[in-house]
Amino acid sequence: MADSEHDVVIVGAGAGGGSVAYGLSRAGVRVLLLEAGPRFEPAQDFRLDLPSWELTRFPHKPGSRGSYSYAELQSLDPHRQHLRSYNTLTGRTVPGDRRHAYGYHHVRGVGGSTLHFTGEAHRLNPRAMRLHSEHGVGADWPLDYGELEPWYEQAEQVAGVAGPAQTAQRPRRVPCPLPPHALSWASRKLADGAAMLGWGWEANTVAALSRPYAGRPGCNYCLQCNRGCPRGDKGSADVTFLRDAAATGRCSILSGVQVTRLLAGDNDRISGLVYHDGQREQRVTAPVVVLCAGSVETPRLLLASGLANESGQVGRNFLETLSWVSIGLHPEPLGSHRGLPSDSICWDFNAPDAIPGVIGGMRLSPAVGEADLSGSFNYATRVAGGWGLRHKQAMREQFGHALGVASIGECLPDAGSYVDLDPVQADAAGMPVARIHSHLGDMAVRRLEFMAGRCRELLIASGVDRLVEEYGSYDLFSSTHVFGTARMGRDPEQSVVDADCRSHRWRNLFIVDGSVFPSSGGGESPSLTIEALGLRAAEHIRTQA
Amino acid sequence: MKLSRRRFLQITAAGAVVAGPLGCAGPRLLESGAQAGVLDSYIDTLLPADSAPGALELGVAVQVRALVRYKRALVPVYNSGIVWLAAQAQLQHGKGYAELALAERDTLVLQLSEQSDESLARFFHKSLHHARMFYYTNPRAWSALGLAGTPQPAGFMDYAQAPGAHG
Repeated sequence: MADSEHDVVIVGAGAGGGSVAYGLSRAGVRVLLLEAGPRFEPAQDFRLDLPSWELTRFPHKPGSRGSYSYAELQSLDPHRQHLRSYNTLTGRTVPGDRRHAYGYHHVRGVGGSTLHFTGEAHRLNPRAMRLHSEHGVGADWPLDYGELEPWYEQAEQVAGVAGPAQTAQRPRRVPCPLPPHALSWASRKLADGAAMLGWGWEANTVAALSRPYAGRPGCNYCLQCNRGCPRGDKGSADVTFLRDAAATGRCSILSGVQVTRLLAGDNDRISGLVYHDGQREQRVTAPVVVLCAGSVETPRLLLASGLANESGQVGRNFLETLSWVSIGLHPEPLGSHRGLPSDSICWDFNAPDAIPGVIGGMRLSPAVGEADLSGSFNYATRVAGGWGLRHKQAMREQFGHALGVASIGECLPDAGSYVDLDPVQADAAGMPVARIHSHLGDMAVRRLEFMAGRCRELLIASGVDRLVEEYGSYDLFSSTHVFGTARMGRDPEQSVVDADCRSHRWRNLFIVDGSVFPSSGGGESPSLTIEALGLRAAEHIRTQA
Repeated sequence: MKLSRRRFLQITAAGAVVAGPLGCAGPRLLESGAQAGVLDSYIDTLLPADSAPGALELGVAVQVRALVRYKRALVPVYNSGIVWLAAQAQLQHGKGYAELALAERDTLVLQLSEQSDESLARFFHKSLHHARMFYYTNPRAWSALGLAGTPQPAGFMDYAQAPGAHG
């Protein structure tokens, strides 16, 4: 390590930056963490105790959302009306015949997008890491599940993951650190439906505490993880990895500073970087740089800096969240506004060859929490509708009856899906914003059809007698999990970083976020894998860089 | 400064907006003469009392009025609806809207909802949205739904059990 104020500079304080900072600072390495967004104070900012709690989804602050744009999205096939998003009261979500850019859902801030995540803590299906060699599509991971497993175990310990002793299709050497949460009353209906169909339905692995752990309280099942957890029982990076990193005294976090470019030095090394603190540009020398800004901002910074794109793969292979959600009403009162948003899961269709006729799997899980159908205002506008005494009667009859299923599936590389720099639009610091190009090919749409079919099938088997709302990726670009734009691989001509997350050319540049994923997995949430990669990369940086 | 819905609710709950910039010159809500009492009655027709309190009792009309006065672009929209309701009440019943029975007011709301006039359609959708927003962010509206309270600080520790009589 070089003799400067900091040994390593990390860009981005989410799951990737947090886990790298944790691994390094606890091993005695001095870390400077630069975060573009603000700090959040959970008890003050996540006010789920206010009567108006329902009117704000995640309480964004100035600077907590990045700027980005979209290229025009594809036109829709009139023969696939069954995949259009709708609400039975308000009609089609997308009125036109072209796919609509709804949003890239992320949080810039200390904790990153884990601040609004549901807390799912998934290990990848080992077979999803070998898509190219086994199925001839996408790309293989340059490391296997076995190499990642010790780091998964450590990440689960730090985040406080609750779950079953064994999880389907992803073997475990040791049980989760915490016992699984009991399923909510509503989720038990889905479990009954899955059993009727002969499908598996198990407790999900989640970074939400089933009992007090590491100075944090147990979850009290308010269902509002996506609005930010005011208690700290959800294992977001700010109250786990970053808290512990800061406690070492060797991790400094600067929030509200946006890195605008990396600086090339001699001997294939990055010499430092430039950031904007809101008033002026600042420079910092960086013996080692770790980029952890996510799959949209990381390629943006690399492209703007003109670095690390020797392969031409930076920004390519953009993998979005392929998703479908079906919501219906159950005839029985379920109290479905209670629980954990994603307390259970079906992995039966998760393997790459689990869906007939397509490559790439998917998973199913409860949807009411993430669909934000848990408060009376949303019921009034999306379910009951109308006015007067009939409306109030409908509210009494329907509140708490919503039951939903969400599916997330594999997303494969598509030549039409990538991130580049917008030629026109720039942010306040004068830096071109990232422009998202998204295209769903035929196999993605067929996978989506399978996902929608299983969501509907499970709801019917669970007793739902009326659908009220469905939405999905066919006509909406709406992504939380994004990947692939600086993918890892063994071949420097086909990838940006190696198995240790190190740039093939720039020897002191590492990337640890979703952008390094060569494949998305069959619906697994990515934060735990990012954290495992971060801990593994930290070990490599400490011993090799 | 953009005012978030949550922030607006915090302010109106404290009464600040009602006493704030509302006395300034500019378009005013029509609430005298033939239009007297129309807004209160209309809002209460949207969410009337039954076994749970109605919108009027929960102060929803007061909050709607404050919102409209704060976002002045809404004043002509609301006025178009108020004028229409007052005129139809007089035309169809020979009375002021506020003097009608709930069923009569409800029928006029149904007719309003079917109007193709852009301003009236906008009034209907906006006012219904605002009424629901203020009504359902009042905890007194929740007990009839079986909703115990805000998600925090207590959470829902009974989440694994069957719900009570409602919800």
